[in-house]
Amino acid sequence: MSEWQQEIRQRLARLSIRPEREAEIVDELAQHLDEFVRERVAGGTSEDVARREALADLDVTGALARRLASTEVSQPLNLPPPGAPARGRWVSQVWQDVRLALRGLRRRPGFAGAVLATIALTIGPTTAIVSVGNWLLWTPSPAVTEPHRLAVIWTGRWSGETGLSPSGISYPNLDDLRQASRTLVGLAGWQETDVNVAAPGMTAKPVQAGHVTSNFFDVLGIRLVAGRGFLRSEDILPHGARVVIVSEALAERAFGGAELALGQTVHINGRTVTVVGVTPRDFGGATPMSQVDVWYAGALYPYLHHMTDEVAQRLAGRTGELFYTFIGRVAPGHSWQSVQAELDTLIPLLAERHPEDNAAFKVARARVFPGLGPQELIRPRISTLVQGLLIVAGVLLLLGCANVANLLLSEGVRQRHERAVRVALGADRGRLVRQLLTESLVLSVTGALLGVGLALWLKQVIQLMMAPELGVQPIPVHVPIDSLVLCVTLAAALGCGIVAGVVPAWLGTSKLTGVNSGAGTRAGTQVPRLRTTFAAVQFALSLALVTGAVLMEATLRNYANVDLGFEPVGVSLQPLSLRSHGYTAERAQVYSTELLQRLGADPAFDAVSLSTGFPFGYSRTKSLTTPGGTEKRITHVDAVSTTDRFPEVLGMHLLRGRYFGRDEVLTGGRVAGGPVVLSESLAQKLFGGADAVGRRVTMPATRGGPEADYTVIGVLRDTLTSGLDAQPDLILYEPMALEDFRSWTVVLTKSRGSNESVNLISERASLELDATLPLPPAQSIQTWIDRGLATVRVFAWVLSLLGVVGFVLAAVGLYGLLSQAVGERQREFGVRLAIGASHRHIAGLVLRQAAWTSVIGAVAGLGLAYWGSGLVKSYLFGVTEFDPRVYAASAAILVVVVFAAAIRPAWMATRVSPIETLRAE
Amino acid sequence: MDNWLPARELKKGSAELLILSLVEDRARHGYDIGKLIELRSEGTLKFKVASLYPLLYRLEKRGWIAGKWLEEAGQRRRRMYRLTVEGRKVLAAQRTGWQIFSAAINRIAGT
Repeated sequence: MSEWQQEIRQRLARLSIRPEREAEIVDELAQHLDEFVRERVAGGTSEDVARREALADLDVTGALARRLASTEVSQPLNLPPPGAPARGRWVSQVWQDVRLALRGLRRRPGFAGAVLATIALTIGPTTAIVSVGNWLLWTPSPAVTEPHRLAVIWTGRWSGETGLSPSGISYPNLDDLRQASRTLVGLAGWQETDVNVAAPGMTAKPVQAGHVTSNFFDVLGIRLVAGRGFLRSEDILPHGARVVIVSEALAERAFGGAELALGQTVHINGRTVTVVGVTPRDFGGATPMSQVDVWYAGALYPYLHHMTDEVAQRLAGRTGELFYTFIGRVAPGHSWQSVQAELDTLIPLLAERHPEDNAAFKVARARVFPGLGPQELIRPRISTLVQGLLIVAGVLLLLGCANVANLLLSEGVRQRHERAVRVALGADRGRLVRQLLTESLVLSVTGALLGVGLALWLKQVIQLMMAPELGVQPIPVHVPIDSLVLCVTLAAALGCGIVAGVVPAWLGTSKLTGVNSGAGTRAGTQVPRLRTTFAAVQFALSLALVTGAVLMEATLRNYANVDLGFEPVGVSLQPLSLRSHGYTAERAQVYSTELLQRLGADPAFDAVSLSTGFPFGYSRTKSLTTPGGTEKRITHVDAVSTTDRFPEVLGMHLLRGRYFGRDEVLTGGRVAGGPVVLSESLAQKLFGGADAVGRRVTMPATRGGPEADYTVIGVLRDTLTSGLDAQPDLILYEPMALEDFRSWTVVLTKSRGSNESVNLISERASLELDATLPLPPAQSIQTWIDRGLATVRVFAWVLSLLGVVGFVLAAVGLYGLLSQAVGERQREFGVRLAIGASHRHIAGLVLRQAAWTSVIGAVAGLGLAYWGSGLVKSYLFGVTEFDPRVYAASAAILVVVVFAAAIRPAWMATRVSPIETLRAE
Repeated sequence: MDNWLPARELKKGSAELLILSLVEDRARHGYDIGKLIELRSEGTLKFKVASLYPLLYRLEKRGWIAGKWLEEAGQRRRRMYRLTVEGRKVLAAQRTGWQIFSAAINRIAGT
């Protein structure tokens, strides 16, 4: 046969036919010639003569090649220039390999699906988690130059890690600091607040604003997209220049473009200013969540917030406190430690040089937080969360790679028989390996693409879930997929895929491993042991994850069942700051009363109220004095001033007496002997079991003013105010006084509609009263309550997801392992069945193998969970980290999963036909 | 077939018809097809490898016949050809053509 092949190939050599096609033609023609010879010989001709006749029949004049040329070689591209290597061949070969690979994979949908799912589930969550974590902790706007050399600095009196009573640094002090510092090349004051903007092309809107020192954009290295930054001369107290810098988004909305905004007039809080610069679109501020639309110099603060000239003059002096947050850029060659050390000496120096003016700096300190991450005081909480997520992501990557390797290895081993046969029959080893490689690559690339899609989606979900924790509305912020992470995970997945796919192929085709190679060969026993270990490891890790998830879920459920003492459903809040809009107390009262009346009249609202605080958002404290025999007792309480329908809006219960009436609220000014209401525990504390109604409490009417007596007219049931796991605070309720209307207040509404409908109605009502003062968007009070829960929620969700993924992967691995084992033990099962073993016994053999794997996995997993539970201890509520019920639940889930994976292989084992097995012996 | 027309022309035109009709009701492989043509034409048409297979491939390329590798237990794989739907239509048309042609010849030659 081979002689024919050579002869035929010779004749086809000049043609550039695709190698597979050539092989087919050669095969076919060779067969023809063999049959020809066979017939001749059968008919009596000698073999030699027959061969010669066959050769003659083949062709000597080149007609074959000529005729084939017209049918087989149709594309001119395939013809190589004379003397050059046939390059086109290579491309078509690769394409052919890909098509073959796709066809082969379509025939094995289970295997292909498992590998795709594994790779996608590995790359997706890992990339998403690390991207979000990275963004949160380290990467603010891309417009910032060298952000790793920037830090946020807070000044004030510190208690504990993050408790801060801020002390501001005045402009003269700031100048001194800048001059003295060797470690900082730039120090800019920075504060982000809210203001109201009105511009010709848009209705008045509340926006985020930032007031900064004039060097802010230089320190951050921001290049403005139009106009210029602030000049030093514009930032001099008490009267800064009336200029602002706006965001590109605002410039477009109000004026149609960045350039068009320059020189235009806008109204901030009712004050007129001119636009001199526009910040680039990708710069929202100094934190990842910032979305600042208006920047102004610190010196303009008094003007924009309607402060008196007197106050402005005081701010200009050394005692003025304008900034307590700063952004500093470290000088080359210095570390953040050296900056901190330097500030630790410079701040007290300020107190020494000016002992009277800078008395606060005797105890106040500056603290340096490297990097521009989320608001620094919550950074430790975020750090822990992100670190935890990163660990979990790493674990998942390991799991996933192990599983991909597992799947491909087992598939490779399963096919070794087929490959050995092909090699024995003369298949080109290099070609086989190349085909396998193509298959692995096709799987890996497709899986990777799916993984990227999954990562994008997961990233959004995680962000949304973390939003309440970070104090922002869930506005879609652009978080980039971290390209480094993506590359790493892609490389890991692809690498696994290629190595695990090719290695067994290479090993299997290197020598004639024999078509009869069964479970007795080295490869036959080593691989299952490895795979069993893989499976056990996967189960262990998944179990640990699932245990963590169950703990988190239990915590969330416990939180949800906590009795708040009020009804949060349908309650929205909208803050109002009339003082910074230039309102006097009287005007503020009139405005507020009018606003409440309009809102109250709208049928969408069940009740409305105005107050200086709300549960989970109380900010005022007072000191009460009660007559207690001979001595006076002082009690510190949370104090809130409210209008009459406050308890109604929040669904609070009145235990005794009554709440304020409308007339009591609107008399204006706190009247001696006037009414107050106590919370339950406050009444208990002050008066014991006795009825508090009618009793008196003493407290100063205004801060630092003389004390007066007030009468208790009612007692409200306790509400939680600071944490779901805390004790109820002591709360004192007062009627709104004249000064209260002008300070920071919040409109509370109870409605059945959505936040959007509340927004529409209240915006309209407020704009009718004052066109430059819109009410900010309504937040549901639930968001404030959930603030501390977002971490737990994200943890629970991520752990559950990863636990489920881990279990799925482990189950798939176990299924593959058991299937292969059953395949190899077919003879054994057949023989057993033939000699009388029951089907149940056979199934039991398989299940025993599964059970063994899972027992190891379970023990290891529970141990891992036990060890890891210390990490989540601080987040738990109502459940301890060693709760046996939780561990039992996770173990039960493991058992179910293992059983599900083992069912089909066990069933297949019972289907072995003993007759056929014996026949094959 | 008449002996009027030179053998080569006959071969060219009739070979296709022959091949199509040979695979009309069952699939055959190349060697079989060659042998049957020789038999049924009573030795008139004898195909060499160099002419048979290019013809088969041409017909396959046109889509009139379809070739498939058949693997049988214990045997080498063989390439079997069968008639396609398109081929059936062509066969019917060509048959009609030949009938008309040979009828005309007969009338002219006066058989």
